[in-house]
Amino acid sequence: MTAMTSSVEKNSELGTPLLSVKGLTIDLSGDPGQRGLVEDVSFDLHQKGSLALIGESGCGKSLTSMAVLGLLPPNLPVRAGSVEFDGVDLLHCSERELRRVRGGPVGIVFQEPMSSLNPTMTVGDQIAEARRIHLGERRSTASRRAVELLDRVGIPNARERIRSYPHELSGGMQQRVMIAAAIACDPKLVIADEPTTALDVTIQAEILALLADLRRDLDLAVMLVTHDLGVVADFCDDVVVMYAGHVVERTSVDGLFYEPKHPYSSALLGSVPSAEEPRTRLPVIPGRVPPAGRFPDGCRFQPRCGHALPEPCALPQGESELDGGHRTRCCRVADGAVTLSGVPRG
Amino acid sequence: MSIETATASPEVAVTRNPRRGEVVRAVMRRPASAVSVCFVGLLVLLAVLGPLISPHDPGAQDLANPFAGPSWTHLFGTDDFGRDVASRMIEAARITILAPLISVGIAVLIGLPLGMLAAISGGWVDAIAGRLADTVLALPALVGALAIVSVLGPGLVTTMIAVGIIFTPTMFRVVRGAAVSVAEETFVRSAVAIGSSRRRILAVHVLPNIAAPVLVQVTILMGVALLVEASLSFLGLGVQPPDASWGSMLKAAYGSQFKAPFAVVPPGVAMVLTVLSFNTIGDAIRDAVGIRRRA
Amino acid sequence: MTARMALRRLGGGLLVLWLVSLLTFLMVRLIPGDPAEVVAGENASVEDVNRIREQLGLNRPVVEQYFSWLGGVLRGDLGSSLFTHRPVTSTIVDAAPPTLALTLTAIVLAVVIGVGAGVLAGLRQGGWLDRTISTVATLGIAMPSFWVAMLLVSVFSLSLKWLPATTYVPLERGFGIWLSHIIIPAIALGLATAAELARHTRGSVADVLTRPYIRTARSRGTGTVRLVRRHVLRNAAIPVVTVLGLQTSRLLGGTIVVEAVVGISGLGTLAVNSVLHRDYPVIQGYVLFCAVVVVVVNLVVDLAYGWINPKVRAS
Repeated sequence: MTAMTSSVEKNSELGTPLLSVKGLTIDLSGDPGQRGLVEDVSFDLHQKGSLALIGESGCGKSLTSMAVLGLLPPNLPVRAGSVEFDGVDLLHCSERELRRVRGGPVGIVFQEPMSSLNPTMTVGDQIAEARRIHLGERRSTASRRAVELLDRVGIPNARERIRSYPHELSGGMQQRVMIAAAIACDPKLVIADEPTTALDVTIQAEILALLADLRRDLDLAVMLVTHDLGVVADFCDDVVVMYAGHVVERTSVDGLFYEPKHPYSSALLGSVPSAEEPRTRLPVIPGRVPPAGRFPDGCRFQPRCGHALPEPCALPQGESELDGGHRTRCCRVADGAVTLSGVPRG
Repeated sequence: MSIETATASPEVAVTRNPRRGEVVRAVMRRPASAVSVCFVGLLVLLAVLGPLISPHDPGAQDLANPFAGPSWTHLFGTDDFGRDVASRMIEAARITILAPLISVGIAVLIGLPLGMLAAISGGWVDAIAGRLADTVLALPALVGALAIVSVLGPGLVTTMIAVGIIFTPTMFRVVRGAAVSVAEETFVRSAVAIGSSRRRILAVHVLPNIAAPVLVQVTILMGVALLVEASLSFLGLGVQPPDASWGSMLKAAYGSQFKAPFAVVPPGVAMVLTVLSFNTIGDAIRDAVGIRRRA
Repeated sequence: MTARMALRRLGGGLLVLWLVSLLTFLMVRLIPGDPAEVVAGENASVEDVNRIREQLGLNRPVVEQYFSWLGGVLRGDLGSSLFTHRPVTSTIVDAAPPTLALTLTAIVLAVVIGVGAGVLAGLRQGGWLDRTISTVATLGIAMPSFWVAMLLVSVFSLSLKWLPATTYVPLERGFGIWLSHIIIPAIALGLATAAELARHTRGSVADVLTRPYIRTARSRGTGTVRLVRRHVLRNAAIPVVTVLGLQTSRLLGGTIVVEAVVGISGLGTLAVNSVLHRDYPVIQGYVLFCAVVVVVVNLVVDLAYGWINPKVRAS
């Protein structure tokens, strides 16, 4: 468990962040469309750090992670913002630069390994592909490295396995293959978009353990997109909480769990069932996530927030920085008008 | 609630096919298919009213004036016997529409009941029918038609029968496939469960629901039938002179290409437009009903 | 595809071929009236009719005649032509090369142009290139091959005099001259196939591009060319192979009319002449030959499909 170090303190310790997203805004074009589907998203990730992007389905966390590498489809244009990686703004660089970064310094692991792996290419070829593209390796060299990588991610019989096709492997093994491909070129950052959602619970733990392992051994920074608070607690140092396209809170994991500073985060924590209070109703956040195209102005959580007041909350909310680098987008918490409870310590 | 409504068959609600009118409207809404429908309608009109609206008698020869170019009296010129090409085109339209209609009609008449029967019977009936279908399908359409024509002798009637026989297995396969997938739907199983007779199930449940893919196949086959008849007539094995079909007109035009290069164009264009219309209508129906294109 | 599946397909194909042979054999007996008289013609003498009856084996019981005929077929003896009296087998073999050359050239052209156009259209879905290609493809499917041949001859041979109008020249006489003679009929024959291929490839490519694994490939830095080559083509090829198989039948039929237009003495012309002259042994031989070709091609396509699509291979 890490201490509650603030991002500001981290900045001075570790220098400039490896990945710095500022003001990222994505629109949804078409009819009805939504301006600011993802709006003004900012966060930092340092070398060897681990960041969780957490929120419900549809909050924009996957879109944000896709946007980092410019992998959004044409109907989701990035209207504003910057994504600084290692000194280069990935949103405003050439396609060639972007391709250099993808699969090289930044690896990405997708959610559903079965459909994210090419069914007509062997597993070995898919792992080797990034090395052949970025490092110009010959097929034989890349294949050997693929065997090593398969071994590293815990797939037995790696030498024979590189000739397998994706459908010949179980879901967990497929995901390990994806991870092997993501780390093939010794990246500095791995983005994992809900890597365990489509897998069995037992396999989930294995995959996460693998990621933690690799992070340690390879000095990786990991950005983990997830909706599972449990995963966040075990694995990540810092958290970015998103709701309906906004970052509503960013802080360390401890900061989130023990002292949440946004009503949504607090409500999320409250909705986790506790074994200590059996036979009570499952607490649920009333209301529903607003559909795209009908986001309210101002605070997007307002309709469901128990602490909301019409006046301040209807205005566009900016991010306020609190003690220890903890940031929130709730004006009422920032003003001290509202105090929230988190998970009890101990 | 009266006695009648209380005991009304529950199947009635299921089999009312509200989509028919919708499909027609969807087809007519698209410009391409609407134009195609109008074109086919025009052809049918020409075929029916032909003799009345023909500018000249299609058989009237004017040997002093062969291969005239397009002019006000002869919109498409004249052919090798001085006959008005436009009038012959109109007369040929009758055959060119009639022949595919009859051929495909034969294919549907035989293929539809057989296909449904095979689908719902399964077992050896299905297997045998399938093998027989495969046998005919093993031959290219034109080759099979040639073979049948060689047995029955040349002529328009033989051509129509030949093409009809050749297309029956295709129709059979399409009907069988569609019927099998419908038969697996729950509403058919429930009809079986309440004791409907096989004939009733076929007529009331299966038939309306396979109408769309069958119709699509019909439009495709109409186009192919037209081309096969034209090919056979071009080879001299179909329509016999002095009758005209667009195919046989091409044969005549081909023989005299040096003297009248333009003569090749009208019958060909007419054929292309007609086949195009059939295909477009078929595509529109397919899209309207949401059938995925088979590879 | 396992050996077992392959054997089953083979068995099915053989069964179909046997049924075809049965039907072909019965062809002559199904002629309305007295087949021998029909073949001999109106002015034939009684001796002629009897001779033909014997040649066609009509004087023997059906079953006996069938097995003797079948025996001959399996040995490669398809009887003799009623007119030239030469063995049918060698007649077909002699007439085959031009047709083979024509068909293969047409297929090559169709694949190169059709698949190429389809890939381009699929990559730029919705753009002007896609719309143009799609429109041309729709037209191409509707155009009868013999009319296309006539138009091409009219324009390129008779008017512009760039290309020769008729006949076939064997490859031995030189590639250039062979090509100049075969290009018009090959284009005419292959056009509809190219159009079908373009349509299917376009759909297939467009579909593949929406798949998640394409996004994965792009996330590894794959550029467009490599993306198409290694990821799109292989997956989009699957339906293309099937289409080619289906089109073989159409191509074979098409040779009949195209050869007639350009005056190539290949199998197509042989077929037409034999029908016009009611030379039944030749007709039967030709029909059998076509059936064999179609069945073999379908088998090969099935096997190729299994090879390309590893999922089928494993099951």
